[in-house]
Amino acid sequence: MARTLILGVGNPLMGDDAFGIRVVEALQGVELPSDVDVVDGGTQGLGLVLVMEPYHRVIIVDAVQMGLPAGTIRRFAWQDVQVNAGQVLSLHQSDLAAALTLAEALGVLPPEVVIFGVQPHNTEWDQPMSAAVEHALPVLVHSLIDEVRREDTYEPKSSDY
Amino acid sequence: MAENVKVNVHHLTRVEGHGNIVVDVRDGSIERCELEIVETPRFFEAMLRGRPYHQASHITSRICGICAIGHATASLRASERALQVELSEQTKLLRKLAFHGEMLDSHILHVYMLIAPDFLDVGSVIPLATSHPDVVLRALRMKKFSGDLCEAIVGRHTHPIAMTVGGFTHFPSREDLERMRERAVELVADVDATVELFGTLPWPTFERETEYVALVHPDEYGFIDGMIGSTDGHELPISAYRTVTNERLSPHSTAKHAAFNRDSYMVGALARYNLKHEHLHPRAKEAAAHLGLEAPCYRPYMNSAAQVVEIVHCVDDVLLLIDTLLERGVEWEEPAPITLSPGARGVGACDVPRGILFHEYQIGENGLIEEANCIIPTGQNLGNIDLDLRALVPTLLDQSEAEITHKLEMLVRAYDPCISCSTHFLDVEFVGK
Repeated sequence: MARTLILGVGNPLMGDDAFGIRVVEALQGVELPSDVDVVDGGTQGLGLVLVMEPYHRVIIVDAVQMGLPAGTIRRFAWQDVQVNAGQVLSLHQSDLAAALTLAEALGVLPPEVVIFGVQPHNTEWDQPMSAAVEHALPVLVHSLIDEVRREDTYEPKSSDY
Repeated sequence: MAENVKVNVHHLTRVEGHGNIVVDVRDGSIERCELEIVETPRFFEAMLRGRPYHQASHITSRICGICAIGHATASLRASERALQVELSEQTKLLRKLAFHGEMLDSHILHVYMLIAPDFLDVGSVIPLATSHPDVVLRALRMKKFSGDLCEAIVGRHTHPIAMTVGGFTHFPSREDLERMRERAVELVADVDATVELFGTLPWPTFERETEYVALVHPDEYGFIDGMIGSTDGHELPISAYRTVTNERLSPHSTAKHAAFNRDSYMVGALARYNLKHEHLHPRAKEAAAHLGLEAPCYRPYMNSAAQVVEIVHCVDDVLLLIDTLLERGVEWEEPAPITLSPGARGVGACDVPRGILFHEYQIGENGLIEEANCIIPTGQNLGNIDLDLRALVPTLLDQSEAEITHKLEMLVRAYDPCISCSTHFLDVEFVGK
């Protein structure tokens, strides 16, 4: 069983909201550590609770309204986001926020939940991704690969024994 | 007893779409008592005009993210009737199986996420997850099964891609069916626990007899095709649906209201139960007894109990359908042939989770849709909800406004209204209000 899930979410028909899904597509050709799964979460809502549950670490990629210049990437831990929910982070996919909140209430949220957010320029129907967000795509894919190759902080260390 | 009561629930929660409950009682008499529907109209029928018939099921599936397979199936049946298509036995079996997947998904969502919080005294599913995590996890497991069943048959959890006019474009493998069968068997424990849980809930006893309308079949508790049956003793072919629905405008609703033999009628799980409970599988009948559901039942709050009974029935029927398909073997089939003729009309009907759904199309010789009409269950229920509210309010006047509000909200929720689906007419008078 893989320990890490990369979960891209968003709606590919809505401009920059395609970002999470495009990242999943970009990772298809990349060799990742064997304990990493990559899943297209689309616009699923509460169903994501059970998608995330079996993993130790979930890395979510989504367009996030942060009031920053378009294409800016930020890495958050879900635990930090909650403190400022509604101000710093209004996830375009409110269903994702609901799924994370529900998973937490159920006590089945994986111990490590990281969100890579990109600031969208435009999330209107039937638009291509904006140039700024398009530029952010390869940058984020590289950061993600670094992230999953990074040593898992929850892995028991030899000094623990 | 309170002489003056004012209830104004703006955008009722835990229903799909936007509706307000408005009650105004002055000097003990009801001045206003209604469910206002304020959702924006959708205009799907106009969208279909001029489109090729084979796009219709994919477009109308988007009317609803909950009963997408229901809309697609009603749409396909309308086109198939207009185009004189004869379906194979395999197509009928696969469509039933996908339909059950969606019925389960919708009912589980409704009874667990939307209804249970009222009874377990929490405001929504999030605190429910903290107080009863086992209940919510069970609901999520059951929903996952339902979604995965839909995906195995029609290619997606929602918005079926593999169903087309005349048949299917993709077929489940033997392994797919065996895997889903195994999971359905595992699900039975969760189904039993569901009956157990809902059997302990104090269902409100409010009762108002009305006319109940559902699709009826001679030998099964069916959801697709059949005849339109009514507890007032009528049985009509699906093509005569306009005789039943008699849609009319109502000043407080962007959705039309419907009436057949009385001022209103009810559709949905309770209507189906009242009309055809004898065709339920044995375990579903036992569940009904356990839940205190006895036909005829005139208690609208029990619609959710009838949904629990249908969950039991559908899981057992899924097992039977999969066994039949495994025994026959699923073969790759071309969709059945169509015949185009000028101005051909067809009506499709399905009993979707919230009640009977009708689609009617007129398709030209060029295969383009010339006219479309969709009548959605929630629209048919709205008149009945208003009359229930009017009957219920006088019995509650000795309670606090907060209690009255809560009981009224629960009543509307019991109908499992899907408000966005039902709105397709803008009443100009309403706009200036």
